[in-house]
Amino acid sequence: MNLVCTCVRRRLAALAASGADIEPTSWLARHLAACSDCSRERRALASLAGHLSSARLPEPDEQAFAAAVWQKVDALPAPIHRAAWWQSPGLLAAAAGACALALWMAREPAGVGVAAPPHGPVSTARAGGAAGTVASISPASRPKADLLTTPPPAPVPQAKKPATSGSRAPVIPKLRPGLNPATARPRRMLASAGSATAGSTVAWSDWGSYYEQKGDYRSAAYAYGMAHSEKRDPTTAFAYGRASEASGDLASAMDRYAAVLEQDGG
Amino acid sequence: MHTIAVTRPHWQTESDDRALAAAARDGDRSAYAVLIARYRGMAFAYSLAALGNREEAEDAAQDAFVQAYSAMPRFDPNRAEWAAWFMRIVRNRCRDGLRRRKTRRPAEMPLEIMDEAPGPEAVTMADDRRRVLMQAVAALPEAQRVPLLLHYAGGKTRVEIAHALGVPESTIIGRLAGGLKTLRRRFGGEGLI
Ligand SMILES: [Zn+2]
Repeated sequence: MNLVCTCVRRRLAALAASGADIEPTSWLARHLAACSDCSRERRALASLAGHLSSARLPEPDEQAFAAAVWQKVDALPAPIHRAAWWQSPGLLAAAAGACALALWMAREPAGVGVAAPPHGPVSTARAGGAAGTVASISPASRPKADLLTTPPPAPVPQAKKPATSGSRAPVIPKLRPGLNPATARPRRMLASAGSATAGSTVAWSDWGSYYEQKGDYRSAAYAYGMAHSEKRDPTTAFAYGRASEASGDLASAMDRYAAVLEQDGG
Repeated sequence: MHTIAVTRPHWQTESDDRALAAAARDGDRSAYAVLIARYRGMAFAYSLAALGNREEAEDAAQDAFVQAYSAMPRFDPNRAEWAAWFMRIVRNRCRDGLRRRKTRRPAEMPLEIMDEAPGPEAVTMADDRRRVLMQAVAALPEAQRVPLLLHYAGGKTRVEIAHALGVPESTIIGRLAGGLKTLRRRFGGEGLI
């Protein structure tokens, strides 16, 4: 097979796939008229397409299909017609995967014991060395809640906030004396702190992680919701869902888990 | 040379879909029933081409409609096309199905697409050869198998398939060509075609 034939063969499959006709005056048509091998190849491809077209994908029964869909919809928990995420193997798989990812990301560097709560800015932490670092998120620095399609629950009952230094702004507890903040903080905090809103020295996801460790899931859900409004990724969406679920807000949790799937694929 | 139609597929009329999706989001079941009727065929055909099993495909297509319905409150008709949004759910559902199968049922499922359409090719191709051909189709990579089945056995246009898969039409043509070449190589030496 010479070079021209090789080029023609490559072209023939694309032509067959596109359903386009070959212009009679084109070099391709002229070659096919002169080359029996390529002409046979063209017929073979047409025959193959014909054989493939002779099969038919079956179609579902219209009535039965719609009835089955509505039956499944009606089986969803009332009053919000939504599936429990653990009833969907796909969502369950996504949840498990995101959970594993979240655990991996939140792991501590070797030699550090208890997870450190969110604390001061990266630059302060690095410069501060072993000294305890105190930081706060001022109310003005918080992103607007209406960035979210579904607003997260109202944040943070005061009693469950970390120790506060002022009347409103929560202050993150000091690190344990002798602990190097640069190594004590989760790696992801170093990476994400820079993306936090100006004035906010701790990433929302770290607030979420902090509140979650404290067992304050409502606050954690709020913080993760804020993180999700800043950065829509499956990990944050899953954390948002997990905290929402733990706080009893199943509707929001299911939305978040569905979002994990959507962001995961497609 | 040739022209390729760039028309919107008949099953996807965006303005209608937007209104229907908005109504369905507000709780109008009859509007959602229209969407089910409109996209049932594509959802099922895609699922069957991807999963290769009728029962699983029906389940997957139904589940996708259920999941879409439950997620409707989050769908903004002004920001996204319902068809594209819905087909992404279908694709994810099928992907999950394949993932589960890998762990639970490693055996490859044969394609069930043997409902025969009348035509000269059907008459001339013996059953055993057709079976071999369909096994070869089933063994194609998913990226080639799905467009090939949707187009030739499902009667979907390239534009429809491109919309359903969320890729450009040129990609679909490339995948179809790749599938044809693979099958041609497979059967060329055996004189089956
Ligand atoms: Zn030639």
